[in-house]
Amino acid sequence: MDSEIILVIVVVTALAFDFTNGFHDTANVVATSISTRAMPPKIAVGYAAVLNFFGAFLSLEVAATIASGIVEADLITPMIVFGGLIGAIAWNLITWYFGLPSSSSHALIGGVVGAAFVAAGPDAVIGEGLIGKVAIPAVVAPTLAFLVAGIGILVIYGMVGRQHPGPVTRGFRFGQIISGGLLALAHGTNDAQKTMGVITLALIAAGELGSGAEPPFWVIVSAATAIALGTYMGGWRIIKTMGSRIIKMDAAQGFAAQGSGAAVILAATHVGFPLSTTHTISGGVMGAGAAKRVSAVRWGVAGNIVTAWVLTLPASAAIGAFTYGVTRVFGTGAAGPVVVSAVLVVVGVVVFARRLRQGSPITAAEG
Amino acid sequence: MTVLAQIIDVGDLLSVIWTSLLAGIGVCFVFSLTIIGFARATDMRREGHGAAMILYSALAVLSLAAVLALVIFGVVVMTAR
Repeated sequence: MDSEIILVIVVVTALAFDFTNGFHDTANVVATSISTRAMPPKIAVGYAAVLNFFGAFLSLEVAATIASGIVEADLITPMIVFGGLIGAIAWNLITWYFGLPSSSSHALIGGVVGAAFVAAGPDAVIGEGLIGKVAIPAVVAPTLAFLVAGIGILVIYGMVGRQHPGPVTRGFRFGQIISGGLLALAHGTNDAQKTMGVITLALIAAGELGSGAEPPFWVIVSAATAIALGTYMGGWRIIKTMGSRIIKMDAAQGFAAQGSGAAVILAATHVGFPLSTTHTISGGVMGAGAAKRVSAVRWGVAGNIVTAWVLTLPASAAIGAFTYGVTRVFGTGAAGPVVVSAVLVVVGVVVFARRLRQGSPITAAEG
Repeated sequence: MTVLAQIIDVGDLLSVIWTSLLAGIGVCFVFSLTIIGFARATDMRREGHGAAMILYSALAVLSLAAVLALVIFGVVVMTAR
């Protein structure tokens, strides 16, 4: 009975993570389109949500399951996965509270690493995997997108600089609808699969599915729905930071950031190199701004974002480890996850209500 | 370099870098051609230069088709993982 309750809690928590993933990462897809007025805000999030939903069905390559090659796969239990999910959800909510874009994937990996570390000791964590699949991509993604978007916007300005501004702006706004759609599809494909992988792993661990089984249809539909709903709800605080607090962008810069971001993400997808959508798009936005004028980028805001990226892994690992420790205080049964879930729901509601009352997001050092 | 090669696939990394540069800058270049084509075709039509209008319209349509081909290729990359 306890194992069934734990399984249900892990599935619900995974879907909650998926929702926060969509909610948190909406900004990657829609922020530039909204700030350049390529699309009205509600239309933009609706468009992204629909494409996120369909993107989740494009590929079902869940072999690259959660924290694969970073944590010893044999040691992962539903309780570790639960700790990891709580670490990731908590970090997503903390960064949303401060209006900072950060990687949901790295938060999930960090949470699982922390929980596995406490559960099975340091041998559970594969250091080389952590460097090769998290640290190096975290440097490569924003740097490469910065470079590509920077060169891209210089090419654009060089080519269309002598044209009438009206048609050029309208043209790049149209282009952003295309590039934003491609990003939304890529996001749905990449990120919904993490949740499918987590739920499938839990079902296999609980004996409900055979080893190596494909995710059942209800898992695919529920993961696609959760990420699409989260996207539609829109993490407006992060959208504001990405769309207008890093740089004040024009439509050409928005297209360069999105087009370059999509190119980098798809190039990485093609060879199986793990890059974060958030890091890539943030780098693209900064590159498109800096190439026009270095002082156009609010480096204080950019610094806050980079700090959040650096903190993502250790912070979510600490929360994941703490969560695992707390659940074990209640034994190996379902009591621990039930208590932790109840506390998280209460804290989440309080933080959400408080944040809504406060209004503007806190992204200090904007100037 | 040897240590790095043990941790990540340097070939994959280099492939991501050059492909990203080519595709990202390429899409900016080609879509700029689309915009120039449409903008200049409108100007040429207004000024009564029929032949130039047709040439710029062809440039716009062909470059837009190239952008759409890149988008379709992107979707294929996603599905072919």
